[in-house]
Amino acid sequence: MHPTVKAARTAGFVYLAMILVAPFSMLYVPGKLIVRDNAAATAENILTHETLFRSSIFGDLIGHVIFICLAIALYRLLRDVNRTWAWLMVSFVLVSAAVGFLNTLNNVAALILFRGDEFLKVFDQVQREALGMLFIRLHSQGQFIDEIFWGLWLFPFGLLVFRSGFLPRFLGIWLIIACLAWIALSITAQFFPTHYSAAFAWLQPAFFAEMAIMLWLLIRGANVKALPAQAG
Amino acid sequence: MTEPIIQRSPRSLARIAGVFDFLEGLASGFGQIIIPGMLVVAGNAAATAANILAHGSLFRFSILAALIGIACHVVWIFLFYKLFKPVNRSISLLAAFFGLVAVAIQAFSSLLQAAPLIIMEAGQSFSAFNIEQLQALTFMFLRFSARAFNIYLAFFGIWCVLIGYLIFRSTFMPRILGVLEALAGLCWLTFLWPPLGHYLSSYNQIVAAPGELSLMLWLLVFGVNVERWKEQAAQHSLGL
Repeated sequence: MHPTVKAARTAGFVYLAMILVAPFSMLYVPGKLIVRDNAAATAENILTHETLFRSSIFGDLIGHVIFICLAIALYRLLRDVNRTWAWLMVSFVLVSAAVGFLNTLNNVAALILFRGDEFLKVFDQVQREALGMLFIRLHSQGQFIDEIFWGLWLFPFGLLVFRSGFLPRFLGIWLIIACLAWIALSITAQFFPTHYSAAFAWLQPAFFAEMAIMLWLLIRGANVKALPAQAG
Repeated sequence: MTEPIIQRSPRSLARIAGVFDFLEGLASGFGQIIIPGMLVVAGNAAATAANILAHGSLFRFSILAALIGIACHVVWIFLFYKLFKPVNRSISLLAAFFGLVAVAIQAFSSLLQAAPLIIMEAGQSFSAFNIEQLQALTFMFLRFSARAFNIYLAFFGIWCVLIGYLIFRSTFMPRILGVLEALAGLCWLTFLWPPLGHYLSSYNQIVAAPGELSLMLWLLVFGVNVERWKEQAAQHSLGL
């Protein structure tokens, strides 16, 4: 197999792993356990499904490890297009993953507060639940911060795809639109939190760019015929 | 295929780095130092909470500005890596690693800065606490955020010292800039022990400001000496 095709398939495979893992911690578990503006119900949900909640923390960590691997796989695929933009892409991913790692601590803190071990008995249960809820909210705030980086890394990525010659240009443009969409979503979260869900729904077509490039890399690999013949 | 701009000229690379340096300084300065400094009343949780409530959108803006600053900081650190790679590739890469860790801590600090908003907007969930307790919680998170920012400054200081060394060893920028930048880095490093950092705070600002500002202005106005940059890059057989 041509090395570029192999690199493309590898990147596609890692991408698939990330797209399979990420929604579990980011959408499924929070949707199931967190009741907005209701600390008591959230605490009860999390305590009854403690293993599920712990798995979502674990999934969060795994997801960020895969994200770093994905950046390296894409770097290998695209570095010959332009090393500078490829490194910038990796830099954004590294910072994003570091923020994501630290952010899981907020969920850990919430769990500790909800469980209410001996040393926390000085607080009333309602107080512990409210504090726990604060950390749950801080965790989503951390995700809003990370959304900026989930967008920013797509700009160099999209540009490299566009220029590569061995991947379709429309995917590159789509990825750059997705970059803007994530940033718009993050700003919505900061300033117009009530419109967040609506914005997420409206921007959905842009986010499918990542699904599209993942499938393209996995199924079609790279069009090496477009590449100039290399010696050796 | 068209050559990207920074392969055409290291001078453009230096200028763009200067622009991101400036943008980061402006956005983070407002977001994480000036606006919080206006709203936080030292040692007074009640007054601080009242200030934040009265200037809600300003406080929100400070968080957004901090985020913009963080994004610019990644680009800035990255461009400095490219700029100083011809001097010493390993040290330039090491500086970039320290820089990226610093930015992640900076982002975490801005996350903690958002806690007061959550507490104030949550309403129902926090009815278990009385108003003084809520104010104390808000204040605790702001202090926590400031502490995280100190840790960020220490890591940023290591980056500045390494960059100072690289400038000093480079042939394409004046050595004095490197000395000043390394001195600025040492000032930020005093925040490893926050009481020391705060005790020296006013001296720190006097010493650090010329280093950071002169470097930024030099990059914006003069960029780098292109011939010497290329010479040094060729010496290490490292085109961009």
